[in-house]
Amino acid sequence: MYGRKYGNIKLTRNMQDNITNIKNAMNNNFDIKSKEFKLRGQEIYGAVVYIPSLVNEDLILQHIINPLMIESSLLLDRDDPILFKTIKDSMITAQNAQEVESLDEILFAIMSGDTFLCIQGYEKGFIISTKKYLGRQVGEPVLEPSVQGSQEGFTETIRDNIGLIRRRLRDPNLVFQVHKLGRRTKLEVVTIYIKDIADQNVVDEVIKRISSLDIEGVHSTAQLGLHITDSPNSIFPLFQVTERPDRAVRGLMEGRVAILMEGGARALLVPVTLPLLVQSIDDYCENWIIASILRLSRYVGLFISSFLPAIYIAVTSHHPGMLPTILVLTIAGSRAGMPFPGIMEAILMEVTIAMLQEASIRLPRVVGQTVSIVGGLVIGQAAVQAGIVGPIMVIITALTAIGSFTIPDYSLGLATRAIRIPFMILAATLGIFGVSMGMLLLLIYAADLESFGVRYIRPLSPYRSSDLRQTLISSKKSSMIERPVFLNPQDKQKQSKVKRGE
Amino acid sequence: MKDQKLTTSQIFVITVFSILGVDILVVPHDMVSLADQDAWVSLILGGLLLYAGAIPFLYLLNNYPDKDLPQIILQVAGKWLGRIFLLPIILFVIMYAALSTRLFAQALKLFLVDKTPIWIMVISLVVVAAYMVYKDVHTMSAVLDILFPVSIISLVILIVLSLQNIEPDRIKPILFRNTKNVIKAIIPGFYHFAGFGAIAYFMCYASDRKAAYKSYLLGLGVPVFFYVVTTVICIMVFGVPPLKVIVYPTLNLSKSIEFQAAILDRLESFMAVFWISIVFSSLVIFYYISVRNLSEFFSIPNRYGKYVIYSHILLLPIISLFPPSSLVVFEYHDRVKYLEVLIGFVIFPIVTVWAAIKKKRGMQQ
Repeated sequence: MYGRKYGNIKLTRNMQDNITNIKNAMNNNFDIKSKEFKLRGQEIYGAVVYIPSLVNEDLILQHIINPLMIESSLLLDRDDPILFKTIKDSMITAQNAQEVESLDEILFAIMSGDTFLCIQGYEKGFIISTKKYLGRQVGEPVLEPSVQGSQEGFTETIRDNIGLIRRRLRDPNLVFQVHKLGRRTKLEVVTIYIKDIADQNVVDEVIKRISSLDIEGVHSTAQLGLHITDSPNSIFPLFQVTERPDRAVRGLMEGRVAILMEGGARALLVPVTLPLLVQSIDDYCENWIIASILRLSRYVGLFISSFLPAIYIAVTSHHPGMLPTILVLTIAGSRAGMPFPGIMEAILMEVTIAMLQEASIRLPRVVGQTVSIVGGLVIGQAAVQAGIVGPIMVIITALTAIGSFTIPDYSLGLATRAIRIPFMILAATLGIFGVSMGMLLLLIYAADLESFGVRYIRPLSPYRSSDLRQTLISSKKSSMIERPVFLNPQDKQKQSKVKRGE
Repeated sequence: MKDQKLTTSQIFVITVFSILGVDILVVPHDMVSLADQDAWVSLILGGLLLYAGAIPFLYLLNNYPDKDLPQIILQVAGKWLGRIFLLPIILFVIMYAALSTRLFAQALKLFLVDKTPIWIMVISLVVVAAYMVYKDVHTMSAVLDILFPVSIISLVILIVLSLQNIEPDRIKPILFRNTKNVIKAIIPGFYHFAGFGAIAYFMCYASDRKAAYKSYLLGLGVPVFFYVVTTVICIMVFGVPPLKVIVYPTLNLSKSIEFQAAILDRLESFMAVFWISIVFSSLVIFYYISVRNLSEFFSIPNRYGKYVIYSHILLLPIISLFPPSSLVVFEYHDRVKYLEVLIGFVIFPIVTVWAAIKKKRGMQQ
């Protein structure tokens, strides 16, 4: 675990030496606590070593020290020798006691909140799980609020998160596979999938990528995603980050793999494709007509957020003839006396909006309100009145920002922001032709991406009506009999064809 | 784990895009110049001729399921004769791709970006196409899949909106003392369906060949349908005499539409955007074909394939910008199509018969 340095050190019969060894290995830090006691009042010594901030000390007292010192004397004959096996089988009431011999394992256990129990005269000891789970309570999802969906979000504690998933999916085929990740952090990473749905190739690939990682450590789930992504240079997110357990369960049932990490309040869902990122959990809670409209409106939002400023610049500066004459006159009138060309105005506004968004994330929530007021006033009123930016440009920028807020996936929203300015420059230089060329390039780029072996734009290509009906738009619940095939699920049918009343 | 095979629907899309190209902009003008108001009859007959050429062609493909056209020709006709057969195909494909791009750039200059020089448009189209071909066939097919609905829907919108301007009388008299011209125009009609052989480069990736043949034959019908309908509508909207002088009638068609919803005043610049997707798709297909042709002709191994792609970035714009004036482009574009007759009705049949004889001999042995 920690390499050769401790791996070869074994426990000795001398308990004091063992404790000193452990403390030395951990640099004699003040927060390592050891407590010695006599077993059943006899001259046999035992000791526990632990880190108080990570363990449940009540548990140690009640289930380790108390039984060993007092309670067991009632059960066992006083003259019986205390064997190592007896301690494990009949003296400790704590759950899960594991025998250990090497310093390496002991160190890791103590660091992860377990307690090491050492008995004088034995070359082995016990690791007893006494973890205390510090952290916040299950709260509402902040980044992905939903109207109809559940109001629970993942927390930083992996055990709670697994519970949130388990509670929603009572399937014995639900598999949790634990990995230890990070040279120094050694955090648990759990890959979750449903064995008889998920494509085994994808599962193998995920596990291969995670276990072949040799990194210092990661501190958030999205960061882990970037380490195992297919193309690190992609501006589009190639994995889905979610804080909603219901979405994670949805993903598992589609045959995808979820990855949880200790300390990361998110789950990763892979593989992911562009249409899947535009879905929201609310889509499943509405009538299929409404859900389809909602989904399509998000595609419109995605389009507006990426291309609207570019199209505006192209049309006003290169093809004013495309617009009705009166509108052209209005635009021209509002732009009369403006010092900057359209492209400069747009870039100015874009930078301001980007700064505002960034500022409102960084600021404490109490001051956050101020930012939006200042921003709204400064950009909206003052800039127009001062004659720096035309009023129509303000509308366009506002529409673009609103469009980007309709995108359910945060990273995808950032991606649209990244492509906005290059498209504006294309529009300013080559007009609509340049924008079209840019779109073609972007399309080729997106079509070539893949996420864990699944092409990023599936199921838009190749066409398959059942997949399209379920992902691009929505469909009647009774007609969604098959799982989306593009994720290559093993169990293709998800519900029976039986109709009501039959 | 990437998708290994092209699905049946992808074969369909590739078939449609291999034929549907810049020709749709000029087809009404060309055909009406030859056969007056009966141009559409010639187009339909030309479409039948297309099927007559395509069916034996499928027989050839069926004999060599895992090879594409240049490989088949080289195997059937041998190293030297095969290369001689390949030569007109190479010339046709590269000339057609280059001149179509030029034609389209000219149309764009007229209708969309009047200040941008033609060479910039030609080069940017070719560079983007090169980026596309640089990716694999499957990515290419995926991109075409997305462009397909966009293109078809825009065509349908154009046709539907044009219906408000039609005067059905203009198409009359049908076949009145005009049969000779109609028959003469069949072969030029067939020219406009250039590219039906393109499928030979993609069929080897098809997942289900039987279904792929069907969708190929079905796909051939789509461009025929759109060409015929566009021609009919153009005749009904403009009448025969003006059509003979309008160079890009289909673009003018969108200009004639008065769009009531008044968000967009001039539909033609808006439509020009959608033409880009159609022309780009066909350029990509021809680009890919040309790369395959040249790679096989010079027996360039796969790992050097990308240099063939790079060389086209130079080659295509040079050919494309070679004609000095826009009128000459039309002339060249027409002449290149004679090669198509040579390919479709001389080379393909010879190779097919040769392949059939070879197969028979092989079976006898």
